[in-house]
Amino acid sequence: MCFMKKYILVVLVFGLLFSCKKDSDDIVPVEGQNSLLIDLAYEVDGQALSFDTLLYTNDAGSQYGVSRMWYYLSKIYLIKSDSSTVFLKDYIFVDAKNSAANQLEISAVPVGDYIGMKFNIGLDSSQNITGALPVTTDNLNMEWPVQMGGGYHFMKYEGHASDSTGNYGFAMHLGLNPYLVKCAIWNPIVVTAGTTNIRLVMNLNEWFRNPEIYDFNVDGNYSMGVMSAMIKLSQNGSDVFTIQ
Amino acid sequence: MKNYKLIIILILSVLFIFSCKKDNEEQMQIDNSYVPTPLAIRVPAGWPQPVIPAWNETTLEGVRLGRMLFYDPILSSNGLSCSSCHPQNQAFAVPFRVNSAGDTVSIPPLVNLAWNPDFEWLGQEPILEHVPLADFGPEFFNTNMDTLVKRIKAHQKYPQYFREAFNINDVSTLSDDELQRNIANAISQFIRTIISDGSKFDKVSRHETAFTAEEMDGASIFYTERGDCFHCHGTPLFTNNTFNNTGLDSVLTGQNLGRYLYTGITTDKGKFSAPSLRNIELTAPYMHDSRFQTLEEVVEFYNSGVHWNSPNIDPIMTKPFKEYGLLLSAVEKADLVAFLKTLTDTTLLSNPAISNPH
Repeated sequence: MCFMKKYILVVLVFGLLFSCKKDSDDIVPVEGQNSLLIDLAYEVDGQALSFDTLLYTNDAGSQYGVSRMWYYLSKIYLIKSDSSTVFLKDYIFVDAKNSAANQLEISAVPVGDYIGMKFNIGLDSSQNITGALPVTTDNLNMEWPVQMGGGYHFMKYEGHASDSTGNYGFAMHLGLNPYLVKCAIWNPIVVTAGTTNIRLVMNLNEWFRNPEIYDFNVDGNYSMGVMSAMIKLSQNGSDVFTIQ
Repeated sequence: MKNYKLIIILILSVLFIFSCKKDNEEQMQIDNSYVPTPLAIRVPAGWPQPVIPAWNETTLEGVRLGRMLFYDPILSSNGLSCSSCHPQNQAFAVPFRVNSAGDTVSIPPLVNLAWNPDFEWLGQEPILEHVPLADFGPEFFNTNMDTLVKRIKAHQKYPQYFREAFNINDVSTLSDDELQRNIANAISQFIRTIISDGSKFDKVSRHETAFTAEEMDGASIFYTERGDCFHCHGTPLFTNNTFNNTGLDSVLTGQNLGRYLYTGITTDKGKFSAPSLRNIELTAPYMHDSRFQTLEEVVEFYNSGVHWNSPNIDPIMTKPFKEYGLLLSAVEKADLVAFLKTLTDTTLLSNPAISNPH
């Protein structure tokens, strides 16, 4: 009888220990499967971006506020010291106002030292074709009508400005294959085991300078269909991002 | 010692039996619960996925109840139903109404709302289910909740329909707030099934027919810098759900302050939600305050009447080469109107699946 009790006791103890095992399984990291977490952030010359307020001044002297920053990042790569690359992401649509869209997690990134990263602001010619991207509300809102050649806007940067000429809105729309913005950031990135965080920061004032001053009153407060304006924005765009 | 062992065995036995009790109980409750029949919202080819909250997923029984309620003056103390202001034969909109503040307000049609991220002219309501709740108030239904409960309980079908839609056996066990929310949920489920994709524009898109030369020319104006309509009224929903000041007024007061009245953001003054242009031929008069009676008047406003000095005017309205308006000829204006009329979906007006079931 005593043996029987001990037997029951042992069975019950094991039963208790393993009865809910499935729920408490730990996730075991797989060697080499490391995550890179890219936080997209926005500032104007060191000041964190606050939407819909006339807080900022561009190099042409106009005060401005930002109401929308929609854009695509595409063909995102890390660059190694031997110039070889590691592919991270084909494309993403980003609404700067939507916090969920501004976190990009890439898994299975090889551990190692990288000398920088490169990507496009916009979509290259292989994707800049109407219907090339999935039918989502975001992609539809970025479509360029087929009557105008089709494809997608690369960026919709909109807001309001104020200067000696008065108050007015601005819409810096970028698109068309020749105006794809190619960015390369030469900044050491060390991917370690587990999760590596980097902060990719867009300075919105850089769209209006370097190498060309963009003046709303000279270059226009609206860029779509204005080739000279889109050329300036495209050139200025290559250094809007930094890694911090 | 023996007693000690016995106590341990008893404790362990109890722990063993109840260690997974919660999961089992939840499972049993789910197994015993009535589950209504899921209904997938039809998504026309080339349209994005609709926005449907997980807490009010569309079901056959929910839509059936919502459709009954939508057309039923049982909800009001004044003979009104939802369909009074949103009749099917007028594309689920009526010309306008005068609100309690004395402002004339255009009533947006209840069409393709499953794809809207927000509602009302100011976008002040992000959840469709919250919109009908306001209708129980004095300005619309002036609902007497006690009377409503009695009417529903005495009705030949509603007790069964509430049970099958929401597992509610007796509406009198609900608080007024709970009953209103269940009614609003059912009506919202029905509204999400009101889909308009049967216009000539859609048939042309599906290569079933072709535009006339005039409609084709109008489409060209609509979709290019010439008219620049597409930025706010993009395909296929003919709205991109943004808020814009199109320069209707140079001085903004009262309801014309627009989205600013909701957000308090200065740069939102004069901005209104871009409405869908689907069935626009059927929903005159136009603009948030019903100021234009015809599509021709609307086109003429964009052609020559935009107030450039309106605060926060959208830059699309003041882009280069528009200093003197769109400069459309009389023929071009007529072509643009002809194109807009291809967005009329006459099948919507008589579709029996969304008609009055009473």
